Amino acid sequence: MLIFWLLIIPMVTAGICVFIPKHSVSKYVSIAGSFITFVYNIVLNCIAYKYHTLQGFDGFFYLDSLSILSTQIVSLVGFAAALYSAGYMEAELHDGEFSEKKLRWYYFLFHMFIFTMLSVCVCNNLGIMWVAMEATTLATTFLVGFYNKKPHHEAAWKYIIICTVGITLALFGVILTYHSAKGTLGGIGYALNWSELLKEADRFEPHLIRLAFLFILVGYGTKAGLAPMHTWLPDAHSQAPSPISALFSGVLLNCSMYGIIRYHILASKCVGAEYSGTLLMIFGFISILVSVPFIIVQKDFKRLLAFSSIEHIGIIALGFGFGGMYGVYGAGLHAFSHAIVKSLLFFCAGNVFLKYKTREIDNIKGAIKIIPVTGVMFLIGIFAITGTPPFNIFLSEFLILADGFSSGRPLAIIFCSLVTIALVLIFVGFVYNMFKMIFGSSEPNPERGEVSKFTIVAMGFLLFFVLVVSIYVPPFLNKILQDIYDIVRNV
Amino acid sequence: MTHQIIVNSRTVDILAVLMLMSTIVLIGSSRLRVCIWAYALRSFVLALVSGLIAYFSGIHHIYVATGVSIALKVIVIPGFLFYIINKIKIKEDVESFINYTMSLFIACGLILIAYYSTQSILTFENVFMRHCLPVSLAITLLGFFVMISRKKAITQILGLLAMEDGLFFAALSTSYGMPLVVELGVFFDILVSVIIMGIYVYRIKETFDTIDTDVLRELRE
Amino acid sequence: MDLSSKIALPVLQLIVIVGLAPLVKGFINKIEARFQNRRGPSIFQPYYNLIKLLRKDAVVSETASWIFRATPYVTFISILIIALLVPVLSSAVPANFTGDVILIIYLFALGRFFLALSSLDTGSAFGGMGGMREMMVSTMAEPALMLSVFTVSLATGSTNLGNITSTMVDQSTILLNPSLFLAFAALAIVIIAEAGRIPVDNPFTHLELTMIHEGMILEFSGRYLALIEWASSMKLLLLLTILVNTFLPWGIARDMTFPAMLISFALYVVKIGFFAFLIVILEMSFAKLRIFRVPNLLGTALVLSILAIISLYVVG
Repeated sequence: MLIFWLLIIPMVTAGICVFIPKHSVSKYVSIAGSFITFVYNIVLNCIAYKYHTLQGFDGFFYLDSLSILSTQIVSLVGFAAALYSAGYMEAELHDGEFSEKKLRWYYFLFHMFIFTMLSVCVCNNLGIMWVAMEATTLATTFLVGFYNKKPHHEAAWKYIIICTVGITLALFGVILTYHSAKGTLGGIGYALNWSELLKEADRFEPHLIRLAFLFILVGYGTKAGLAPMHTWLPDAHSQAPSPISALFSGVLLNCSMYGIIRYHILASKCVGAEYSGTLLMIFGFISILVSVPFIIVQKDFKRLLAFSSIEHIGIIALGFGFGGMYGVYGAGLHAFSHAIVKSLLFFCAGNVFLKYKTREIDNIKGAIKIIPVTGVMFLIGIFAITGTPPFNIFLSEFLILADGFSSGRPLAIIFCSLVTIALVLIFVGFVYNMFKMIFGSSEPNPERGEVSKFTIVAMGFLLFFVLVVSIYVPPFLNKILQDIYDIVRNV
Repeated sequence: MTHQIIVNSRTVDILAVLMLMSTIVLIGSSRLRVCIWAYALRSFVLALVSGLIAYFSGIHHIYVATGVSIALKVIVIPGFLFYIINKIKIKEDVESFINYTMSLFIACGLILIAYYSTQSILTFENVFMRHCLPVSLAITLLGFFVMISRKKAITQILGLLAMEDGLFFAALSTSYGMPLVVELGVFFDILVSVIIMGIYVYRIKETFDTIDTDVLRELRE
Repeated sequence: MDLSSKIALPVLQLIVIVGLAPLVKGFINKIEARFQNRRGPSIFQPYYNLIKLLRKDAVVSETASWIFRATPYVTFISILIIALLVPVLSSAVPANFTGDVILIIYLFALGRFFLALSSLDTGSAFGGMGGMREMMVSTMAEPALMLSVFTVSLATGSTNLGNITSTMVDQSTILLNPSLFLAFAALAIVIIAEAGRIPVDNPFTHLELTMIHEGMILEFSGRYLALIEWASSMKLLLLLTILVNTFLPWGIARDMTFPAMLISFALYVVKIGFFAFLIVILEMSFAKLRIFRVPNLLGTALVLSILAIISLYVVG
């Protein structure tokens, strides 16, 4: 029942926000709603942490350490995004991009989006998890095409078509899983509950489970942005409003990976970790490779950040694919770190856009003088995202690569070496492109000063977490990550 | 529950082939309205099939799925698609990237692939329903093919619906449907996605003045 | 079968096919006229036409060769031979040897081949056009025809039409095989193409842009035209007979007793009449397809027939 309330809060917030006509009120409601979600999630996670797992609603909900990490990411970044939206959308409204009436729908869809993502992470029933995944696509299509113009429509159309196709393929995987489970478990009601499936997984027919995992990987992988199904990602993430882009890159991709990992665990128990692990490694590696050239030649900074997300999801997939202690720990840590750093970067990008009114890198110069706070955080963010020590991304990437090199499998070693080179190239691409924006000066300059206070607060909030986790992994986070390794290894 | 329910019916097989034929009409027809009617026919036959399976197997919650299926897929969704077509006033020709005869043969090839690949998974209990699994996989593959080879946005929606139909039928014939909650969730998802896609077709027509998705090429690299 | 039935059956079959064919055409024309709110010609009008044509002189172009003069006879006789190979009133076929399904298809092809050659023979433009289009249609229609008939053969275990019919009558549950549904659909489309009805070809038109069959026979006159027209109406009847007696064979006589033959004949007339009626409905509902779209329709038929046979082979 407790878990149920976690889902109710964002729904209620969404409902209230629709009816509030004035933005000045609704932004506070939205912030309050997401704050309550955040706090309630912390409380829930503490309880779950204490009891190791938490079930609710007669096995319908299930929280273990993997869910704890994922839901925490959703509510944390959700709260930051709500804070940021208050400032960002206010500024856009001021500029006349859309009407206040439309903004109500923005908040409605925003909180429904949070609701659907939380549903994905707490559902035990794999079928309902599928429904929630599809619901995330549906809730966000209008958000992607929020500004009613040509490139936005194109991005939204590609997004909904490609993601729905992917998720339909994943449905086939769910059906296959249900079919093999039904043969073993017999009963109709319990046959799709993950916790029940896990207990009986070694009795399933291997051929069916292999096929099911492949379909799930391709299907949910489309939503997660794994190459070669990533083609919608740069368009959707760059055309959406910045707070939504942050939620996409940091959180939604994470939730999709969550779905893949749940099936990975089932498949590992049934046919051994080699099969699903190798597939994850391959897709992750291809994603990283694909993103490198696009990052280097990019002209639009939001697209650049989107391609960077593809790269990082590839790293997470690689970590889970390697499957060793450091790999899984690193992947979990990476999921968390990437979410907060990427969101911070998207917020900074949004501020830059608000100031300069363009997304082209070549047209932006000297940001550190015009919007100093944003500029500094942008700089920190860039170093963090490319894996520069001493930031948190460096830690997680290092752990994952260490696991790959030490695993002894030739494929893993080859992948790791190439990935290391790729990471260096990405660092070069980022520094080359972004530094052009931050430093330098050109005439005429826009007027000095930040656009909105809310945005600064949101970014500061995220920066706090970035700095903390870079230096010190708190013991509870440590334990959660180790638990995740145990879950993945079925110990 | 330990006893296995087996549904063994020739009628279901024949209806499965009828569904396959209406999907071939989807590939083969050159008029948009005919394609939507073919979709409505297929959904109706699918509803009949699920009703029959509910009757033979005695699993009553499939009746609910049948009812929702008829309401949604036979009445609401085709009606909505016709409404969108009338509203956007386009040339009702199906345009495709691949020429017609080629796409027909590719469709044939896909169906053959479906038959051959499911050969090994065929069970020996329900001897008379052997066409169901290949047909469901074939409909899914054909839907996927329609999505990638057709230019008009409406036909892409139809391809998506064909994929969902194929998967629903696969679930129905192999494991007699999924838990009711999941099935209702899937229906609801399909309805909302068709509505959202329909709205986007309308918006694309307003901005680009065509629903030929070939023009959606501005965002490159 | 004793000697009398050995002679009686072929003669009876020939009389039925040759005699009934113009009536089928007259029936179709009459019903169609009624639907179009006209009185229409009498049902026996095709007979009157044939008699008229047989009495007239034949005019032959100077540039025509022996092919032109031979074609009407070749077409007519090949159709007559097919009439002896198809079970009409009884499941016992007069000329009964294995593989005759293939022979039937090739006899149809023989007639068509000669007709196409003769259309080029006179050197007229319409003839060449008609012949070319006929060949295009047959390129796709013939494989479809073959495959759908082979599907039925595979299901019943014989290529002899007589055996197929008797097996069908004995074990009706074979008919419930879904692959046979696909074969039926393919065969229906092929029949429309081969017999030259709407939506493939318009049998009433004489506009040069729209005719296939009419274009090929434009130069024939007198008794030649009579033979060719008779042959084409027999072709339609034979195709319908194959369809009816393969897929809906109930009521066919197993032996040669008089009551059984009478019932069989009555049922045969009813079934043919029903399908003729369906053809009328089809002609009323659809417009003729533009010539470059005809391969689309036939392609669909081909695909259906391929699927029929493969699905039968794979699934059983």
